Order: sequence, then structure tokens, then C-alpha cells
Amino acid sequence: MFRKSIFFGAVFALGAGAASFAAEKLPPISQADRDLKVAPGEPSASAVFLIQRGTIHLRNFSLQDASSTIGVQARLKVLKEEGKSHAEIVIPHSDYLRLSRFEGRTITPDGKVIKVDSKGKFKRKVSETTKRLVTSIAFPSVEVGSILEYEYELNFNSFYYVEPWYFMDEIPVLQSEVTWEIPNQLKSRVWTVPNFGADIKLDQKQRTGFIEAKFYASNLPSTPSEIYGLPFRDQAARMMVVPMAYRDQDVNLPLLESWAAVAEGIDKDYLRAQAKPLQVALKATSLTVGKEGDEKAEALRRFVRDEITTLPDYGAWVEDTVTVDKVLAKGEGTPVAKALLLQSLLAAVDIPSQLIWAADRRRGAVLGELPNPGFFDRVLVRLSNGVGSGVFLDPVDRSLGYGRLSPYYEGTVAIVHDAKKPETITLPITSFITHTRYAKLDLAIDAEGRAAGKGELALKGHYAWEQSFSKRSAEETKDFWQKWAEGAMPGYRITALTIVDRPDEGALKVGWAMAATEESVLGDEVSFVPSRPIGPLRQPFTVTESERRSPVMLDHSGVEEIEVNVTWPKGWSPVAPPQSAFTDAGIAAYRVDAKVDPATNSLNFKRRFEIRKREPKDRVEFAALRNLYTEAEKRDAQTLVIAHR
Amino acid sequence: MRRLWLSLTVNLVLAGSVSPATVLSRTVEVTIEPDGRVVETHALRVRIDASSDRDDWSPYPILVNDNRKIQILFAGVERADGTSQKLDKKALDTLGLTGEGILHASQKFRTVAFPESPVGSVLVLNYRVELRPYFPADSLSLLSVSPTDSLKIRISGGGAAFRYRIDGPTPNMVVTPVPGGIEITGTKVSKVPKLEYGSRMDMDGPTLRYGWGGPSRWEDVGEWYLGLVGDLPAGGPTVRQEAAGLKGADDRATIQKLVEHVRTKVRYVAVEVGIGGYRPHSPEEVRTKAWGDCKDKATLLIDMLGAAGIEAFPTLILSSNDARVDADFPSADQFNHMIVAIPQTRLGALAGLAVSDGLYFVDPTQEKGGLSWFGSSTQDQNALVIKRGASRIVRTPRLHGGDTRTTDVQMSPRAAGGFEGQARLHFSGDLASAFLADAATRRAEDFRGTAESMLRARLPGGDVKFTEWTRGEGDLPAITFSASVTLGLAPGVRSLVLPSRPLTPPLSTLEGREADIVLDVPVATTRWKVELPQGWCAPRAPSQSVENEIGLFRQKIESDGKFVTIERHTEIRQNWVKKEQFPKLRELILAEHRANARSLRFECEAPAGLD
Repeated sequence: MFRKSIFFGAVFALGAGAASFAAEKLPPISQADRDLKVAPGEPSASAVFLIQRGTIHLRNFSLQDASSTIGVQARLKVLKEEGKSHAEIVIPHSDYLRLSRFEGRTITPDGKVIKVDSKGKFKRKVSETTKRLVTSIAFPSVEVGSILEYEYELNFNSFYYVEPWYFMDEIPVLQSEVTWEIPNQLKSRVWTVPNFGADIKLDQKQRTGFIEAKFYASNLPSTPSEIYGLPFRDQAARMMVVPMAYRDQDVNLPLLESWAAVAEGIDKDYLRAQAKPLQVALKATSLTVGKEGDEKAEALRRFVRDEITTLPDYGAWVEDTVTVDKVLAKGEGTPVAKALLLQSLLAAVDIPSQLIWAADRRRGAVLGELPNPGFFDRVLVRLSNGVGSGVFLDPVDRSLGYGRLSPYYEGTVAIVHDAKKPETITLPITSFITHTRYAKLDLAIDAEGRAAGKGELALKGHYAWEQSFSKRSAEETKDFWQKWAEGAMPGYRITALTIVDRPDEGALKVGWAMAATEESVLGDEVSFVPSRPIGPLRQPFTVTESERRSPVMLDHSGVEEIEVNVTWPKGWSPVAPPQSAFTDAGIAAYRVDAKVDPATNSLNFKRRFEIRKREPKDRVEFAALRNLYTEAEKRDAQTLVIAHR
Repeated sequence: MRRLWLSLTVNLVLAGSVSPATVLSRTVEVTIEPDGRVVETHALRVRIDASSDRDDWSPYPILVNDNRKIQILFAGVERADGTSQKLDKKALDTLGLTGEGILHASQKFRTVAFPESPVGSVLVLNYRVELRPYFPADSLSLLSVSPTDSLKIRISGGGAAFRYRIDGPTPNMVVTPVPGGIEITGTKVSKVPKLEYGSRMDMDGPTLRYGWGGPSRWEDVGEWYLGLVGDLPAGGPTVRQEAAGLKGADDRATIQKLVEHVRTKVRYVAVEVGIGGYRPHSPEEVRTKAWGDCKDKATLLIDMLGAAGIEAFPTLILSSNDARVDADFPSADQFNHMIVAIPQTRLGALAGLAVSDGLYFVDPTQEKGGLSWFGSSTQDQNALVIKRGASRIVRTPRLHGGDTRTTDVQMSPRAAGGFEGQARLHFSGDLASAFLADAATRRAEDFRGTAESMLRARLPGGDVKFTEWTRGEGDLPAITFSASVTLGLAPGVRSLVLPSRPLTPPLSTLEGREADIVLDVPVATTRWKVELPQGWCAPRAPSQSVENEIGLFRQKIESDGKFVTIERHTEIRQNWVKKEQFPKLRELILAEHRANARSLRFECEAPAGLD
């Protein structure tokens, strides 16, 4: 898709001349580089970047630059056999992020230089329609000790494609530097995140017509890849020269100056897309006949969510050919177009609303101080002034109920779109108590040692959202839960499965009958793990709090609860009755209550695991969470044996 | 590792996911033209029966490549209210085929995106395919992911040498051979079956394989391949020189050095462009650039072995744990990998080697291990050993050490109650290879944490402290993890349920089953040596052993009064189990599952009812 140049397209008649971009050569390979056998501080690293260098030339319109340019040069050393996997480099590009040069060479341990020739270079289209491509190179003659050098250039027109420079990588980086060439006419500011103690230094020079600012840092560790860690773009030490406004004698153009500047630019397209929505008004009326208040909003949300196909896209932009009437007629639209349609439908029945730009946190955090509409992947609609005021509606996600947000949007920074006064907000986080996963088993053991009974699993809130596939067929849904039940309760035959999935209520219930399989019936004893089918828990955090390198963010908080009732015949009894336990670690808690009643030959076993917060605030809280998992893992693993005595 | 030998045939109709929609009609006309072109026309009408169906059928993918051109003749939706919509160009896209480990491929998918359509709508798609097959054979899946009301397949123009084979039952279908082709019609044809522990062929349903002209025997397929590579420069001076430098004291030593050289010096990179899916690059080029795919590495190894005076043969194989080449229908498009066969006489002692029918097999894409290491996905497979005038299918051997896992736990009583001791976990084969790669690249604390987690899973309820890992010395990739362990027990408890998971499938897998069962099961041994605390006695559970043609399960309990040793061993010797062998598999399942389910009670008096 052509990324509409909101601000520039109509304003500038661009010259055809290319930017005079010529990157300085990398420094000669030093003897220390040649001798390097182990990455400093990371002996396990299979390869190391000796240097990564970027030159970002920001477009100067007065010099008729055709585009902005990012030039990247890198020198990497292979330290182990496994490091050879770094000898293939893949660069995605597109119509609007154009690859203009991509070269590589291998420097063998004996100093021979071998260029990547045409046989080692490949270009392929990822999608013809969206004009996305991938160019790859495979370095020749790579062995342990080889040094690989590559360089490429990407050209782009819009300042919105300016990304931060990441000083770190998935392998260690000994030297990382980026030089920004900033036209004098471009008002900008520097934004820096020196994670992992990166000491980012600056050398700045005034050149004719532009400022040259070089930022550099040394001895950077690899970025962590840990369970429940943050995405790379939130972890790496990084910096960016933020283009705030372009001003010369003819033009005064706000860019990423503020959210207000961004919102004002985009608002013109929103207004045009929503102008005179005649068909939309008729549709809104027909969809809400006989409905009142919230019911109207819900009917319209469901219509947009379920009847309008979502076309994948990112950003808060909308194409200049899009109108809400067209979206309605065509039955498809991007997340932004669907939100605009929903807002227009609501307006047609006098329900005022606001558009909220939001982003899935797995793609990286939205930063209030870095106004960029490219962050966003979803536009929510928030009801305002009157009916359901403050309720968030997601016009895309089919597994979400009215007023609910997915866990990956909760607690994220979002922008309330307003042409005059956009507002930075944090989307609400629901309490852990609203997200529950509850399983109950009722089992009876007969005189022949056969256990049989029934079970149910009830999910609410985020747990239901995770498992609700409202577009999945009934047959697939049944297969999914049958497999889940058989896997969660080995040794039992699962029959009479029933599933009630109510995504609009944020609830999902599964029921079944169960009987011990022939191969698990022993005649004189029955053994089972009472934490099933939800447990047994596994410790997810394999490194200690002092070793953990990245902050923890669980998918969401919640309560996982199991209740098992077992009865057995006369002459049978538990070999070792389960023990009750309770540990409260603040951020989470674990409780087991087990009661054996000899009079009725029965056991009531309850186990509850609460995660009250999805993010430990510090290492101490992380340690508490981790220790609780350790405890819970041990207790959850206990097997209960009921035997004929 | 992903290997690139991309089949040029794809089961197009199976490309969607599972769906309850109804295929109202599916018509495929295949015309084999005299000039070698093949023209296919496909017409498909799918009724949306549930709101979820559209997502399962859209976007609809059709394979495209340099040799296979697609023309969408019509795509649209007919709604139940009588309206219809013809899709425009915006609904079409071409997506590059991407996959883990593939740097570049010329395979793409032409996709058709259908709009949201209410229940009762019919998705309509007509398209034409024109291709020039590299090898005169192709295949077609007869079933779809949804039940098919009306099926019509007609293949014509194949001439006198037309041949076909359908590998599976065809209920509700009528198969009619016609001159130079075949017609298949069907009404109310079922959808692809769902099977657990099944072979890929059974899970895909019956496949029609057909061929025409030219090669029709495996010998012919071999000659076809040799023709394809006939002009490939071989025996170049630098390759010969390098091979000469690696000559060992005897043939075996030379083979070992050359295999190791190609494994370590030429890195595996998957690139396929057009005929490059079949044709390797020249050994000289591969040696120079030091990277290549399976056939590049195999061809270089063969060339180097030849330079060292050791004849070796390219061998086409299907690398898979759940599929096998149909040996009754010779064709080139069933393989996805190339390995090397060497006359076994050149190896000397054969113990532990992948030897079958006079040939030793070696896979130069495997990065770890020595001559004995032959991955499980290439074991017990129909491989085409290519030799001028004498190409033949050979079943590769099934080896004992492809994937073995041994857990050893030694425990002594603690003064505070419970037990403490040591645990060792030893892997060799596939899994060890993956762990060794992991150990070389992950931070020490990450790797230790993962190893500790794995050990804890084998000792649930215990405290596990990882102590060390060691790399095995032998020919097979091997790794051993060690940990100190403590196991708490509630006061008065004298029983343990040893944590081991059955590896054989549940008995329900056998019920009413006609299809083969395919088991991908490691050779697993768990040994516990427990020092008996004061007042404890050895458990009364009997030792047992079930051994038959399918495999072995053994539980051995021995005690000298001070220690008790419990050993469980599961080994599947035949991973493809036919229906007539199900009773044997049943014996193994019962023995293994019941032994695993039973607790071990260390009581000195026999519980009532047991003796």
C-alpha cells in the first residue's frame, strides 16, 4: 500500500536529484579484531559485531534531495561454528522503503577478501500487492575466524519512517555509531534510551547546510531473549533524532513536533473519510431499530467487527480514497477505516465518541514523548458524553466482548485523537480477579479401581479471550478442546464434550465426562495428579533474579483454581493424603486446601494460584514471584495415590 | 534442519485449514500436450455453511513458480439472496514462499481473498495452470478439507505410456481409465480424515499419482537425474587437490575426513530457483563459496570421494518422520532431500553404521557427529540410489541410536526425611544435536536454567540443582546433564510414583483403526537406585518384560536389601505399525502405561489384597 505522504505530497514539487550520500569507509581491521576469539563478557556468543555504523541523511528539500537515506555498514566476526548462521543477511524493503545498495564481502582468517557475487544475492517479492520485497545475501567462504562486512542503503520519502538507531543487537556489539545529517531547516531534538548502561557519546559538527551529529557507544552486550521479556525495540539501547518541523523561507511544516501536530495533519483525512456518510446513516438506523442506549452501540460494534473484513495495516493513517460509505459498500477496511466507520455509525444514532490510537505492546511500547502515528496498529472507539461514556470498543477483535480490551492493549499508552488537543492516556488495566480459570473434577472410584466422573473448565476475562476463537468452526473447536482434555488428563477417556463460548460476555465453559482408560486401570490403586487439568505448573523463569537481564511482563494477571472431589469404596484410602499449604508472596499467592473425610471416603482438594500483578516492580518482587513458582511447581507435581489397603 | 528439495507438486486443495464448508463441486481437467506442456483447469464451488468458513477458505492459495503459471479465470461470490460479486484485481496477490531456514525460493502462492460472505454464499473460483514439468509426473489429492458433493477429475493426453496409481481407498468415487488418461468422478466424497499417530499419506487421504512418457521405472528416474546433471563439471583440479590432502590411512579414514570436511566447511543454506530445486551447483562452485543445500553438499562429497578413489552415489530420499516415498510409483517429485551412498565394502567394520543392501548411507547436511550419525528422519525410508544403468530403491536402515534418552537417579535417605542424591540425564542423537548447538550459543546461565528445568520435569516435586553438562565423545552427538536432587516426603509416607511418562500412544488410538500407526518414539531408559531407609522394604511390584516385533517394554526391580534398583526401558523397533500388528502394539501399551501408573510402595508388610 502506498503510505500517503500526509504532509509532503501536496506541498513539495520534488526534484529528481538523489541525495549525495557517500558513507565513509569502515576503519581498517585492527590486529585486535583479527586476534579476537571470544566476545568480551560473553564467552557463549557465536559471533560479534566488531562495528555497526549508520549514516542517516535526512532529506533537505531546499537542496532538492529526492529522499532521506539510511546507510548501514557492519563488520561481524564469526567466533564459533554456530556463528556461521550469521553469514546470511536478509533485508526487507518495499516501495516506500527502497533498497538501493547491498554489498558484502568475506575476509578470511588469512586476510583474503572475497566479495558476495551475483550468485550469492537474491531478491524476492514477499507480496506483489503490497510491494514488499526481501533481498538476501549469503557470504562465501565463511569459517570460524572469518570477518564479514556488509553495507546497504535504504531510501524513504516520509520522515515518519525514521526509526531509532539501536546500538545493540542479538549478539554483542563492540562499537556502534550513527551519524545523523540534519538539514539546518529541520527543527529536531535528540531522544536517547541508554539501556544496559550504554555510555552514548556525541560529536557534533556544523557543515554547510546541515548539522552532522555522531552518536556512539562501545562494548554493548547482546539484547536478552528471556521469557516474558520485552520486545527488542524496548530493550536495546537506542537513540533518535526526532524530526519536529521543517521550516524554510517557503514552508513551515510541523512533523513529529507534538501529538497535536500529528493529529491535526491526520484529522483532515478523517474528516474527508467521514464526510456525508449517507449509506452509513441508513445502515446505522436499520441496525439499531428497537434498541436503546448501550444496545445500539453494541449492535453497531458487532456489525463492524463481524461483517466488515479487516485488512491488515499499521499506523493511524487512512488512504485518501477511503470513505466510510465505501468501506460499508465494500465490506472491508483497515483497522483505522473500521474505526472511522464505527464512529460514523454511532454518530448517526447520536452516540458521540472519540478515536483512540492504540498499539499491541508486543510490537513495542508507544512513547508519549515520541509522537509518531506509525506506532499504532488499532484504533479504538471510546464512547463519550452520555451513552456508555468511557466504554472502549474494539472494532476488529472478534474474541472481545463489549467494552473489553485484549491484555496486550491494557495498560499501554494511547492517544485520544483530537485535531486541536489530543490527549495521551494509559488504557485501563482490569483487576486480576476478573480473569479466572476454574476447573472442577468430580470422580468416583469403584471397587474394581476404575475412576470415572465429570469435569468442567470455566474461563473468564482474558483467559476466555485467549481461548475464544469465535471464527473457528464448531468442529475445530471441539477437536481443540478434546485434545486439550486428553492432554491435560492422561489416562482418562474424555467423552460428552460440551463447549459454550460467549466471547461477547468474556466467558467460555467446557464440560466433559471422563473415565479411566483400560491401560491405566490397575485394580488395586488409582494415582493421579490433583492439580490437573490446569496444573501442574512449571517454573517459567529459568534464571534467578540476579541473572535475569530484562524486565518481566506476564501476559496478564488472573486466578487459576482447581477443585477435585474424589470418592472411593470401602477398604480403600489415600496412601499419603495431600497436604494443605498457603504462601502469599504479595505479587502472587498459592494455596492448597485438602480435606479427607474418612466417614464418607472422600477427598475435597482445592488449589488456587493468583497472579495479582502482571509486572514485578523490581528484582525483589520478581524474586518473590519466581520463588512462589518454585514452590507451586513442587506442590503441583504431587501425585495422589488411593489404594485398596 | 530444513532441507530444500522442493517438490514441484502441491496439494492445492489441501492448502486451506480444516473446515465444515461444503465443496459443491470440484472439477479438475488436466491436458498433457504433445509438446510437453501440461494445462490444468480447476473449477471450485464452495458453500459457506458456518460463519467461520470464509476465513478457512480465504485467502485461497495456489502454488506458482518459474515453471508454473497461473491465470485466474473467475473469482467471485454468489450470495443466497441471489446477488453476486465478481472479485477484482485487488482481491488477488502473489506471496513469496517463506520458511524457516530458506534463504530464497522461487516458489510463490497466488492468493485469492474472498470477502466476508453470509452463510449460504458460494465461493466460486476458476483458474488455469500451465506448466512444463521437469519430470513427467504429477499428483493430485482426491479429497478436500471439506466434504465434496461432486468431484470430477479428468486427465488426458498422456498417450500410451500414461500410468497412474492411487494410494488409498476411494469410497464414493468411480475410477475409469481412458486412453492416455483417467477419469475420476465422485459424489458425496468425504473430507480428509483426522488421524492421530498417522502417516502423512493417510492423513492427506488418497492421492492420485500419474505419469506419462519417458521414465516409468526407478532406473529411469535415476537416468533422468543423471541427464539433468550430466553437464555438471566434476573432478575439478582444486576439488581433487583438496580431496588428496584429506586422504586418510585407509578408505574409512578418508571417508571420515571428507564427510567431516563437507559437513563443517560447507554451511547449509537453502536456496532454490527453478530447476535449482533439482539440479545442484557444480562441486567446484560449492567448494569455492563454501555454502550450499543438501544436493550441493552431497554432490561435492561424491566428487571428493571420487577424487580419492572411492565411488559414491547420489541418493534421493524423503526426509520425514511420518511419510514415505511410494515405492510402487516411480517419480522424481516424491523426494525432498539428497544424501550419499557408499559401497559398504569401503568402510571396513560396519557396526553402528547406517548400512543397508550393501550400501553405507551418510547425510552431509548433519552438522554434528561422525560416520555413525544418521538422523531419524532419514531412517527406514525408501531411498533412490542413483547409479548409471542400475538405479534402485533401497530401504535405509533403522538404527538403534537415532534418539536415545537415559535418566539415572541415585538417592539416599536424608536425616531430615526424604531423599537426596544425584540425577544424570543422557541424550544421544537428534535431541543431543539440538542441545549441543544450544550449549554453544546460549549464555551459560540461560542454558543451565533450561537444563535445570528439564531435569525438574523428570523429578517433579523435588529440588533440583544443576551441576554440570558434558559433551559425549563418540560418533553420535551426545550430551549428559547432571544435577543434585532432593526429594521431600510427608511424614509416614513410604511410597513413590516414579515420574516417567509413557511414550506409547493410548489404547484408544487402536480402536476401529484401519490406517497404519506411525510412532516417533525415542529409546528411553529410566533407572532409579534408591538406598532403603531404616524400616523400608523393597517394593513388591514384579519385574516384567514385553518384547515383540514392534518393540520392547521392560520394568526390572531388583534389591539387595540395602538398595533397590528400578529400571524402565521402552524401545520401538518398528515405527510403522500395520493393522495386523496392532495386538502386539497393544501388549506394549498395556505394559508400559500400567507400569507407569503404579506407585511403588516400600512397606514391609504386604498390603491386604495383594498377596
